[in-house]
Amino acid sequence: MELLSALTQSILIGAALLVPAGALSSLVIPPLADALLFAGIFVPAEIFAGSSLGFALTIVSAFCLEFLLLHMRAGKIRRDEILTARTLGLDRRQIRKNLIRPRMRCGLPLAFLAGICRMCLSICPYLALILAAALVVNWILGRKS
Amino acid sequence: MILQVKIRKQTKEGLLDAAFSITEHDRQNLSILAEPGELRTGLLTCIAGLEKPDEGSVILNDRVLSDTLKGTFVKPEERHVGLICRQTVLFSGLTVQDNVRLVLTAAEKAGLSLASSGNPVERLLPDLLHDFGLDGLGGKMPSELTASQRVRALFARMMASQPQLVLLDDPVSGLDGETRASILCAARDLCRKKQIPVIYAGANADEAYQMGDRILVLENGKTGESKEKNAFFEKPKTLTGALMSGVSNVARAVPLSKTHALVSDWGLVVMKRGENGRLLPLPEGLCAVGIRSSDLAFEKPEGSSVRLSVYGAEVEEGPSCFLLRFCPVEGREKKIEVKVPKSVMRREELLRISTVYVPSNALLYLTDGALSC
Repeated sequence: MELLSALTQSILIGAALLVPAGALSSLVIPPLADALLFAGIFVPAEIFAGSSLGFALTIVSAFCLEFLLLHMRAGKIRRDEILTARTLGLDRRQIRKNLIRPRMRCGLPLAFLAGICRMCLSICPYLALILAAALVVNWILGRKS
Repeated sequence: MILQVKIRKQTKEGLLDAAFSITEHDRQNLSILAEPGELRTGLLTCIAGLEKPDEGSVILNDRVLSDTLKGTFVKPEERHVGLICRQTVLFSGLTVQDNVRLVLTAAEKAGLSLASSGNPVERLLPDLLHDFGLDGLGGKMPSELTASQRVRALFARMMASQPQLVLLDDPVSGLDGETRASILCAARDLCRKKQIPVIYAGANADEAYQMGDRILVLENGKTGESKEKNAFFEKPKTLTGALMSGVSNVARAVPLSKTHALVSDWGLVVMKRGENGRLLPLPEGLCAVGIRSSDLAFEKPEGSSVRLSVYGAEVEEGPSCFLLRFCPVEGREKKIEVKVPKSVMRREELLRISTVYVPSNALLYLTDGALSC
């Protein structure tokens, strides 16, 4: 029962933080993945609420999940490119080595930054609300100008 | 046998049922005239190995690339078949020269002869870029190139893979006429120099003529008429072949006897005489007759001819010639087109014309492709 309550609560919080967090760290991550990510962060935190383990789990999982998701996305390659590469004589190993890994390396700093951002948000969820307000104000001012 | 293809594959557009070959004897480039779509692309992707046929086999230089009966299927990267189609792209994270270099390196690692001593990759790279007019553009990213430069880069990169067969599925679509011709010429000449057979597939008759020594018509997914290119363009045998080769005047025909056919749209009963003056028999499966606009004459030619009356004449002006459109039967909508150079006749004269002649030997008897197969 406690677990179910924690899960529901974390999904709700996740959904509430979805927009600002997504805007800040990675707009490329689709909403569902974002919601799952937040659930992944808050479930362990709620289970071990009040303990130092809960706090550590929160910030570590926040960083890892964001970092991994964005890092993998950076190395994503279009199907057209894979088919093209294969007709040019490049096998799967060569495609991974020459086309996917260099892109992942390029996306590394961004993924790291996004991981840090997500970690900060998990420590202070209210920061997300402040950022969301800032984004809305910025958007309104941008439209007016 | 250089290439032998026998493929059946069900696609969303219909059944692809193709069979053709390129032999050592007639070592020739082949142009496949076909409307764009899944069937045309499917044929080439099955040869390249990107798709598996439901039935049949592909044999290249006596090497079985795929055979559904024996369960053989060679991966596309091991086939050495170059393909450029609409899905072919430059690798976005790499410059033009890195795109080519990557493929040259892969070819070298695969043990393909690059025919150059020392460091073959770095020696061949500038040559390939030069062959396709990419001098000075090697350092650019794909996003910085124009459409024609991108296509040139695709060709340079494909040639770097040392293909044993080149497949082109209308690779220059979207480019202007002159650029299209220059890119295709460069590719054809380089392939000829390296003795690599080329299969060009497209709907453009001029490009098919330019690229191929032999023309094959793909009709609703089935291989139809196949001929030496001059013979094909001079006398196509099927209705689809005639339309794809640029015969603009086509009308349905109904056989009346073994030698005569009724063309009701033109209000005519047509027949053809041989050199000895005897009536020639109609081909089996006759469904239409055709006349090239250049074969129509305003004065009665020598020998037998068909006479067409001119009703509702309209003249459209082009840069170098007039296009006369008329109806051979009063009150009908079916129009016949004649291209007339401006140097030959003036607009007013064209509008006064009342009769047009078709030399009997220029009349094309056309069969239904499916029936003739």
